[in-house]
Amino acid sequence: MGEQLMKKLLLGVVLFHLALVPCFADVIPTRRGERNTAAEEKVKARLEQLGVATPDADRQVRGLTPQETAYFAESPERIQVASGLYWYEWVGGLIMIGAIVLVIILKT
Amino acid sequence: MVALASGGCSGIGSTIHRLPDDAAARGYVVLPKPVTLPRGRLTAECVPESLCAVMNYWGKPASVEELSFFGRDQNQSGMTTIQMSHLARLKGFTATHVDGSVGRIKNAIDRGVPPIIQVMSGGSRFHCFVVIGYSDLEEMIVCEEYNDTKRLISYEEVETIWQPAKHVMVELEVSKAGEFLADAVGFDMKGEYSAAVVLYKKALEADPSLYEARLGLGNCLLFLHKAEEALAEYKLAYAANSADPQLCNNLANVYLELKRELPEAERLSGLAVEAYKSGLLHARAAMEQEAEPALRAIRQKELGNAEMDLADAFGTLGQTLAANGKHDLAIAAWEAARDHYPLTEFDLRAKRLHEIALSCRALNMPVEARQNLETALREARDPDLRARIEAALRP
Repeated sequence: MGEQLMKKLLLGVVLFHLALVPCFADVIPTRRGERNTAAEEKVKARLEQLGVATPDADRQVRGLTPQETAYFAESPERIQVASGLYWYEWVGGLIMIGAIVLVIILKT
Repeated sequence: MVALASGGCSGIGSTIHRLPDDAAARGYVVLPKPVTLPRGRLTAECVPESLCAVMNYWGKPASVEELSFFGRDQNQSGMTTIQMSHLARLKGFTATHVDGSVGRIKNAIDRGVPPIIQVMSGGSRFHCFVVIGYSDLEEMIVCEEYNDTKRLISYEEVETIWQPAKHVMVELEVSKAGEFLADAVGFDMKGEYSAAVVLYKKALEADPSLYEARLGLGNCLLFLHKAEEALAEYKLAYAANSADPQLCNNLANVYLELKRELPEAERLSGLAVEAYKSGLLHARAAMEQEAEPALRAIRQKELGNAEMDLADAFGTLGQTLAANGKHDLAIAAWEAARDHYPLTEFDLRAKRLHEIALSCRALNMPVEARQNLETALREARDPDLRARIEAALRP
């Protein structure tokens, strides 16, 4: 009786553990390939150097295909931050603001 | 002031209201259709503006605001070069980054493709231009500006201002099914399954008969624990190609996950094992026959992949056999799997031992079960797997 109970208990433990084992590990991937973490780190470091916050840099790197990551890692200077205003436009804007402030001051 | 500055005081090239009437006679070659550069509501928007201009050129609706919304990071002024790829994919385009040159610009224009170039615009700032034409006679490239005005930059100057960005040039073209698939596989391989799912679906929208996309979509859905959705994709793939061992193996995994059709799962995993055995023999023969070192290295890699595929297939076979109560056969399958895994695959080898131990217990072989669990614990690296083995070791 006791042996029977023990067997049932053991079987229960076995089934419980079999249920825990994830089957996903034996899913054969579409194509096998190793992740190029060195290239990803290089790209991420470059983004951080350009002032991109770490979580944003992570997200940007995740959004690249392995080929794109390899291309940018080969020469990280390929990554720049582009924005629309030229230096003289910033200067012009500052002069304009200064002029407005001056007009306000003179009028008051 | 900004308009005045960009219109007349540029530090880069010179601006003109439009190309001269005798442009063709002066050697100007331009795109077959006009490009319009939209102006964003905010400043510092040259990346989304340029992308939007090219997307509209290809006849696809896009706005600076939406591209800016999806591309901009809160604490960042402007956008990085690599955000172009992300935004392009989002809108169904393929962005190809290449090391550009005046020759490559000309080649793109001749093909009717407007390239985007990223150049230094003063200080350490960078700016994107959409190039719409060139003239060899006057040695100028033509870039599109706001309100249909044009910026002419000499070949010499563009080489100079392009150098700091390593001559990065981006070409955008509407993605076809094959390009969606290639990108999807790239994300799939690096484990970014959610991104891969979106692209596999786009590939299938463009070409529903794309078998590899269907299978890849099923695989990613299964990795994302969406077993029912994965099953639906696998069934469609199975209707197209029931002999694919990868599909047979993965379909068996879905049935195991859903605890459904277990005899069918066993049959499918058996088929996969037989096919992968044959594949391994072929891969081994191909490697042994190859004399060229570079090709031999490729064959060696293929042989390694074939070993892993067979080992994984044996793993699935073991699970289906165990699920059908055939523990002795399951143990044999898992031992065969261990024979094919490289010694450096610590966790996979340990996982197989863990499974063997559980089947030993089911067969009332407690001593063998304990020995296997102890060996598994020595091999395992993954904390979750170690925890499972330790739990199984507890009396």
